[in-house]
Amino acid sequence: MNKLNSLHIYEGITNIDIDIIEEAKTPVKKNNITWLKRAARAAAGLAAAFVLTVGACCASPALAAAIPGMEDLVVLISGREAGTAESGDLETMYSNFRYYDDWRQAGIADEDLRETPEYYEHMMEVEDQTFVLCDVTINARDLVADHRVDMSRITADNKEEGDLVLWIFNICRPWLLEGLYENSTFIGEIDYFSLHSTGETDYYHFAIGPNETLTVQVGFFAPTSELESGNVVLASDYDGPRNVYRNLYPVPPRS
Amino acid sequence: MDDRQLVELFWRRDETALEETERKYGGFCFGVAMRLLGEERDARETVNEALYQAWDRIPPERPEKLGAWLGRVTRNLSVSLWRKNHRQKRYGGIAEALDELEESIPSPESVERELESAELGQLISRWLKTLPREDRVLFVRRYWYGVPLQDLAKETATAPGKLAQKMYRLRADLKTALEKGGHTL
Repeated sequence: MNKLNSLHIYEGITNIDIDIIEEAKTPVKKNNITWLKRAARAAAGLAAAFVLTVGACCASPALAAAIPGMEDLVVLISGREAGTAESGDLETMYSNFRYYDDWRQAGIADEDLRETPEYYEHMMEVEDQTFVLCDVTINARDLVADHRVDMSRITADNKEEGDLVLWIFNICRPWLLEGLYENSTFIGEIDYFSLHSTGETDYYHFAIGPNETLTVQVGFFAPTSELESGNVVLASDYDGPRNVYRNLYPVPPRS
Repeated sequence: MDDRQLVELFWRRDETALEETERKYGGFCFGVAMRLLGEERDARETVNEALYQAWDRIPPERPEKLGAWLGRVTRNLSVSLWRKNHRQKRYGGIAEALDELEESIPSPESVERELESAELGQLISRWLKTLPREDRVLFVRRYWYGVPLQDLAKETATAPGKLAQKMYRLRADLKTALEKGGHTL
């Protein structure tokens, strides 16, 4: 075994293949909107329709009535393509936003975060970030499925075409509102999910059944300046047999 | 003048090769050295030395991509200069990159054996080729070209914090690849 230090690595990087050096002469424009396009196709096939969904904040009386104290919440529900196999819908409601300069102030154990504490410390050194914690109510409204879906057993590889289940595969970290469709900047994934799985399964995997309602906590880091100006949006995704859906919720500005 | 013609001038020992190469790649090499060293005078001397090395090494070498080849020579010379002078001077670019690399690749107190940089370069190249193109270019632009993180964030329309996360993951991935290759870090 050879012991290396960072200068060795640096010199090794200096001597990488000429082709790789040449390839990186010009930057690759990152395509941040691939999955947004996918979602937009699912919603209506049109970007405009997707943006319209964002703008048209629609309250969800059924869900609000079912949960005392949440009547004032706004729920954004993305549309569903007609004729698909899915039945029912999924709602996510966000409330009780709290802001912390450090995640430790939120009382979250290090081992419950998605990444290691060192990872987040590094991230905060690079940019002034705020840790946001909020409650999320997930309601599998009218979901048709003959069993409770155990997310820990479902992966992208074994999910079968035509499964009559909704697959909640991720709750995203925020997007900047400005230029949502064409020029949006993806900030990242959430960093804390109170129902997170352990072991080798996806951190975000969890189970939900038809008409079941879960209240979870979600935490994420976002640039403080963007939070203060109200430019941050929470997005929750769910993946049905044929389409991807997305609910969006603007995070209240940090005062 | 294209690279093939420039290399032919070197092979013919035509001194205009140096002039033409400096005209075409002098700015690029200066940029590489400047980003690593941060001192104009040292960067200019490094570029001059790189041109002399080109004169010495071509022939027998016949680089197909002269710009990248010269850039690599310039970088190696910059690292040598850093080794020689870093106790007296703090060269911004290299020091910053080393700090980042050291964070996930700790520097041991003593080094048992200094691995040949070329051999390590091959190992890192193989790892880079396993990455998606976007990640590979990102890594090389940060740690080879020395592009600052904030500039990379603008290039890729990514928030700096998000980009820092990605770089962290890439470094951790490199660490794993090096360990699989039989190196302790």
